[in-house]
Amino acid sequence: MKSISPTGNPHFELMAHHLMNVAIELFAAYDLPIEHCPALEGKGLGPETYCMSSIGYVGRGVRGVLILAATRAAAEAWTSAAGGMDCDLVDAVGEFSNMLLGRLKGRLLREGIPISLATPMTVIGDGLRISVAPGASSWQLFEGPGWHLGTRLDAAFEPGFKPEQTQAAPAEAGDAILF
Amino acid sequence: MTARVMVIDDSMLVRRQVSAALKTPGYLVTEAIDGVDALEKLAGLTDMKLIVCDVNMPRMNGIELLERLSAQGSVVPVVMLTTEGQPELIQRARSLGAKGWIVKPFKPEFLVATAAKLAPLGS
Repeated sequence: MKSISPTGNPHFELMAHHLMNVAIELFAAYDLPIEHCPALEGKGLGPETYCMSSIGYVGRGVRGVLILAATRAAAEAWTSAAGGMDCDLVDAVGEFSNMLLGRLKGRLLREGIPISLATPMTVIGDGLRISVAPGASSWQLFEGPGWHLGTRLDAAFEPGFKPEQTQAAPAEAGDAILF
Repeated sequence: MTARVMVIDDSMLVRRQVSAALKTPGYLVTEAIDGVDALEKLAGLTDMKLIVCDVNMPRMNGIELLERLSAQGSVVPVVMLTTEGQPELIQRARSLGAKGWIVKPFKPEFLVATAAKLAPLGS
């Protein structure tokens, strides 16, 4: 579960930077403060991993996957905070990964990197592991109140990839627009 | 008096959140897991006053559902509730007759205010 170093790819570093920010913002919106743990960077949650949700994405000249990994305590905390006490943890982790990548999509659109998203696929069980991805890949780990979560961003860029001209600003999380 | 609302989302968590928000002021809520399920349930319900619909769903997504409802001549107002915020997508939904667009995670008070405007209780 080690990362391939993304160092030297400014586009990937930009994506990873936005991912860190949107992760903190998303969980804060549910009153679940999390802190980035740079000291633990470079690998996933290890044997603590209980849920993983992955969503594929594709843009012009870039494609990859976002993975959200959670301990059991984390998945239970998120489900409870979202008011879904009777909901399946798989469903809750899948929806949080969906919201996470949705927020990242908005940030990337502002950077001239439009992407389209697939629907989440979530697995649950003890000791989950995931293969190393081709291209750039990095884990970011976060600590919440009594639990941990990890995000892994994989991205493969086509040669000569360049962001497009920035388009109109996307709607942000929490926005409500009536036509 | 009350009004019936349909909530369409492939996530049970979101359906529960939306249902809880709308049941509090008195709406009757019918849930559907995607566009296909929604069309089947709508065929048997004549009193629907509002639809709250996700965009990214398996089988039939929210934009495809809007196309189908538009082709059927449906007059039930539809509000999209999604993680998506892309202007082209919002414009596409608007052109298909959607009445609103809310980006997740939503504030329950915004959703209830939107419902009250498009489907007032007692209407």
